[in-house]
Amino acid sequence: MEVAATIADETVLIRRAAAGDRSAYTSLVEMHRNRVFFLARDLCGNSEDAEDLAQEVFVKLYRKLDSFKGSARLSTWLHRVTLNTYIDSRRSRAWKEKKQTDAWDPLHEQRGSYHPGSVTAPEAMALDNQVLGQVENALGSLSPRERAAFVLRHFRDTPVREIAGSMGVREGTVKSLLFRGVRKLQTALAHLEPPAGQEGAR
Amino acid sequence: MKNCSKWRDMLILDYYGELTSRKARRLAHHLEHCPECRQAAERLSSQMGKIRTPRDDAPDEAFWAGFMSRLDQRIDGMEPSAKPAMRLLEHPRKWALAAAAMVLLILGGVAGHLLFPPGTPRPAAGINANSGFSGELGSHLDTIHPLMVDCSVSPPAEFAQSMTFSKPRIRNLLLRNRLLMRRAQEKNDAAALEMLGEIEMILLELSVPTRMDADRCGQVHDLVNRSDLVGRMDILRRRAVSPGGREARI
Repeated sequence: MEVAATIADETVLIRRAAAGDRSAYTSLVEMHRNRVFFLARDLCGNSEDAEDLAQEVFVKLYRKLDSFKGSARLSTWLHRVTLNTYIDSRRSRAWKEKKQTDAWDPLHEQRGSYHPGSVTAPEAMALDNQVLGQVENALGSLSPRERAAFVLRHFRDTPVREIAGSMGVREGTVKSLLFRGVRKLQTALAHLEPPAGQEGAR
Repeated sequence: MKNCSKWRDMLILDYYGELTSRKARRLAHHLEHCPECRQAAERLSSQMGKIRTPRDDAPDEAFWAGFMSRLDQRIDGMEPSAKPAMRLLEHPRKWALAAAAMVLLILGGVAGHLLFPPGTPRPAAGINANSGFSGELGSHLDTIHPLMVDCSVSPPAEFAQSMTFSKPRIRNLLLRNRLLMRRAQEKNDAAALEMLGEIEMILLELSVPTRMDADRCGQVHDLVNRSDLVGRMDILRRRAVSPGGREARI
C-alpha cells in the first residue's frame, strides 16, 4: 500500500517537474540521491568522481522527464542510467587522461567504498589502507563493463539476470565480464596470498 | 597432469551462486576428489573476501547542500525534457561534431564505393587486416570461450535450453573463424589452425537453423570434450595478446 502510494506520488512529481516545477524536481532528486550516489561511489571508487557521475545522472533525468512514461520505476531507470553514464564516461578521453595523472593516495581520504574494519591502531590502519589501495588499483585495471558487472554482483549481490537487464546485454555476456574481471583481480591481488603450500601454516 | 581448466572456469560462477544446480553438483563432486581445484576454490574465496562489502554511510547535509546547489546551477537555463535537436543547438561543439560525422559518413560511402566496386569481396566486419593476428585471435577466443564452456559442461538437454548465443551471432562467429583460419594458414600457425578447425566444426553444428535436439547437443558436447578443447583454448588465449579484455565486436 505504502509502495503504491510512493509510486503515485512519484508519478505526480515527475509530471509537475516536466512542466517546469523546480521544487518537484528537487524532491525527486532528494528521494533518489543516496541510492544513485552509493552506486556511483562503488563504480568510481571515490567520492569526487561519484559526485560528478551523480550530477550527470540527475541532469539527464531533468532533460528526459517528459519521455519518462513511468513504464519503469524511476529507481530502476536511474540505476540503468547511472551504469551507462559510468561506462560511457570511463571510455571518454577525458577520463583516461585523468586516470593517468591520478595515483592512489592512502591519505587522500578515508575511502568510503571499502570498509577498513574496526581496527584503531595506527599500524593496522596503515596496513588496511595499503590493502585498500591495492584493491582499488586492482579494480581500476578492470574495463568499465567488467567493473560494473563485478560491482553489482560482488558488492550489491545483484543476480546476473538483473545485471544483464540493467546493462542491456545477455546473461552470458555478464558471466563472461564477471569471469574476466575476477580473473584480473585474482592476478592483481595474488601477492596478498601466502604461497601455495603455506596456507595451512597460517 | 590432470587438466582441470573447465572446472577452474566454473569456480568463479560457483562462488557467486550462478551455476545451475546440476552444474554446481558436478563441480562439488569434482572438488571432493581434486585437492588442486579445492585449493583454487579456497584461494578464490579468500581473495574475493578481501574485497569487502562497501559501507553505505550517507554523506552529510553539507555535502548534499553543495551537491544540490551545483545541480541547480547546471540546470539553470535548461528546459526540462529538451528535445534532442534542441540539445544539439545548446551545445555548438556537439552540433559541429554531428555535422562532421555526417560529412565523414558521406565521404566514407563514396570512398567505399570507389575502393570496392559492386562484386568485389570485402573484408568481414570485426577483422582488421592491419591489426595483429594474435590480438584478433585472442579476442575471438575470448568471445567464443563462454560458449565452449557451456558446450563442454552442460549436459546436452540442459545446454539446448540454456544456450544464450543467437544463430545470427554464431554465423558471424563462423565467418570470423574462417577468416582467422585463412590468416593462420598464411602465418603457418599450425596450433591456431588446428584449433580454429575444431571450433569451425562446432560452430557449423550450432549454426544449423533447425532446433538443437538432444542428439545434436550430444554431438557438440562430444566434439568439445573429446580433445579438451576448452583447456587448449585457454593455453592459446594466454599465448595470444588479447586487446584489453574487451569483448570482440562482431
